[in-house]
Amino acid sequence: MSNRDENESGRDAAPRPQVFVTETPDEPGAGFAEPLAPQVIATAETGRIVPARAPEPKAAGVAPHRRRRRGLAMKLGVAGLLAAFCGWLGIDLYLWIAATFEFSTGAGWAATAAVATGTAAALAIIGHETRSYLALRKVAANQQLIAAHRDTMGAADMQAAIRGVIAGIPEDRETEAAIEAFQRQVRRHHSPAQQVALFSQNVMALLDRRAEAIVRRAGARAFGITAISPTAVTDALFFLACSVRMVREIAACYGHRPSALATAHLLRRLVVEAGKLGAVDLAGATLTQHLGAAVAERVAASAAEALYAAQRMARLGLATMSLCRPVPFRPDEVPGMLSSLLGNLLAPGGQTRDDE
Amino acid sequence: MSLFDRAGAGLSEWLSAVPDLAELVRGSTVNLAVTGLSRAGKTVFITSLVHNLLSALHQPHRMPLLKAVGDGRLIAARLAAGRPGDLSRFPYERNIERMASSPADWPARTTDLSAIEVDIRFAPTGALGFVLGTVGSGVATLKLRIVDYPGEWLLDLPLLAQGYAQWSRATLALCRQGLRGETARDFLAFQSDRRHDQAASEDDARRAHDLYRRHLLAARDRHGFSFLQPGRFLDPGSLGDDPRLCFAPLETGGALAALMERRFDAYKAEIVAPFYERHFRNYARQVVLVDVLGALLAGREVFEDTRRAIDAILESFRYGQGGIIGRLLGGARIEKVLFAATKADHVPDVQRDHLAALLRSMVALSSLEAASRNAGIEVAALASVVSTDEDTQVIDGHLVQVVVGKPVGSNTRAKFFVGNVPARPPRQEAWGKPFLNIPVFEPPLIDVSPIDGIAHMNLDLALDYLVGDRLR
Repeated sequence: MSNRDENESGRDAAPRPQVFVTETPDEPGAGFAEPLAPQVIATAETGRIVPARAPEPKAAGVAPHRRRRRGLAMKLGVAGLLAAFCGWLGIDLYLWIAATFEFSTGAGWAATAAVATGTAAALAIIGHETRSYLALRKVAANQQLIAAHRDTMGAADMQAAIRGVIAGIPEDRETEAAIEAFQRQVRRHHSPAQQVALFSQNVMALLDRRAEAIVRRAGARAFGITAISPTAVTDALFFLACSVRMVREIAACYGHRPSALATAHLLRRLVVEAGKLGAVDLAGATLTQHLGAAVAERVAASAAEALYAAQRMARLGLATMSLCRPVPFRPDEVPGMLSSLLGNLLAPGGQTRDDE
Repeated sequence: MSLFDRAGAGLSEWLSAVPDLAELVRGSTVNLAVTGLSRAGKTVFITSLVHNLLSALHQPHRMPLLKAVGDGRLIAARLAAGRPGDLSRFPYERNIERMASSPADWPARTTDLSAIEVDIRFAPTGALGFVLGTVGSGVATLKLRIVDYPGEWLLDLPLLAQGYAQWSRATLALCRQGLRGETARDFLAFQSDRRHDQAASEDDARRAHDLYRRHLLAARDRHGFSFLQPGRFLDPGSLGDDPRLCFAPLETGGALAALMERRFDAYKAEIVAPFYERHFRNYARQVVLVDVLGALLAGREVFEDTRRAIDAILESFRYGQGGIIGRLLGGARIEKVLFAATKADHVPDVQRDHLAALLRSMVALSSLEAASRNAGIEVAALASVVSTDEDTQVIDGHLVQVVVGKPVGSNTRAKFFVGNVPARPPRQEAWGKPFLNIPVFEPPLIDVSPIDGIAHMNLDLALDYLVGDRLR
């Protein structure tokens, strides 16, 4: 059967495999034909080569970020609720001002001034919070971008991402020196992963040291307070207070406050840690009651609880560091529990420079 | 000599070869094998490595990816005093002066063995650092020992596992193939004209040797071939006109072939084997430098030849994880190998990754042996000295990326368009015409004093991979 007959008989059937012959170069190696062939082009320039540096990342710039797309229904719902609330508030205030004017003109103008002042203050606060929220989202997006595409993204994209990170870092003499050192080291040929490594090595390492010092201080605080606190409830309350303070300090150390998601995550951890601490208190109390002697009871229970609290505080601190750090930790950069807890003891003089 | 004398002499020899106890425990010396074919850039690699290490104190930003430098733990590096073993000292100062002079030039071709040792003083980390910091000065020293030699000699190492007949058969088969056939025409004609039953004479041996040597030189210089044995025919070093070199591959049978075989065996036993035993048995780390770009542009035949040469060389080394016991028994093994595509500065940024990928593909088979013995393998593209800059050029209406540099001996700069650098070896029909005129660009401005270092690409990354674990 010829091809034509076959095609006609199977007109309704699915397309069959076929071979399409395309034009091929006649000569072998035609793929390397001009202008792709290697060549040397003489120029009129003189002078020896001075190796160029990579364009230096500057503190100004916009980090690329990808927004998580929310559902349309959710957006409309939030917008509707907001509109309803604003409408209700507006109408209520209008009616209140109108009622005040009916009472007396002076009181009416005073009410109008009070509402105008309150509205301006509310707008200022909302603007500030919105800016802060957007900045946090930018940092979180940067972190996600670097974590996910460190090995695959282009060198220029990584430079832009690093520019975004630099823009959010707290400005002081030490960080400026670290950023300058990074800029002197990074070269055109460095891959994105190498750029991140250099950035981590120079800039992030400095902030990590500061954050570790905060963790150490919080650990020591938790140890001391737990050792002298009289009840499990006060232990838990003190632990919570120390944790919140530490989280805020670490976030500020990295140049931002935790994003909404990070805050929720950290609060959940705080609740879990406080719960665990309370359980240990109860277990310790039961155990020491069985031991009997009042002195042994006090020493054993307090020491164990205090150590446990310090260890938990350090763990929480390290978790906070990895959430707040604009560039994710590489496996060899994650600070150890021991160094975080005992850094004060191992450092010459019992205190590191960052603790001062 | 009595049995006791022989045992005593054997024990004494063994003890002299065994490093001292402190060395065994701390591993404070690293013998780095800088391996590469002729013109792969071994001498420049060593010179730049040493200069940048010495400069690290004043200019730490040159080597940021070497962790000890990046972490600020490198205290200083200095050249070890005295002659390294029984070898002459590597001419580091002369090479730097030559590269820094005006007009600048690259170090001269290596013609003999030399070695250099660098003492790297650093602050160790971890428990060792804590102990050293508490009870001592807090400083440790790593001695980095590197040997330089003509790349051609490396190809003698595979001869140790071959007999004359086997080597002759393989070599003559190669001589009849492709471009080698042109350069070996006179040598092959001499063989075919000569009767097997003719008596052997010194004149015939000399003539055969000269013709074969001429073929090797032409194959190297005219076409860029690398797999050329024996290596000392191309570069005899201090041997000069030693009669043990006066042989050539011949069809077996006949008195002349028997004479050649005797000389071949003497060459192996008296020249190659001691060279291997003295200089290639105690390496713990190895960097294999390959001029991938040169091989690619020289065409399919040279590319395959380079691959064959690398395979042959790597078969001569012993790989695996060495421990204290292994070192004690004098059986050091190469624990880490870095394959490096050199002259990466001749390729624009956008294609540089392809250079490393192409090398990875080239050495895929030969690296399996090392990997199967649990040795670490890594591949990178590097430039020991960056002698170019990035630029663009319009060629036939297409804007293309080029590199620009100042060719040696020229007053003006030139742009070099490298063409397409594929990530894998091209298919047979995709090979273009050989391009052998790769420009040799002048080194950049260099300070002779070890203060500012030399611009490079990934030299710090290479060093961190090779010895970074010993600097912790």
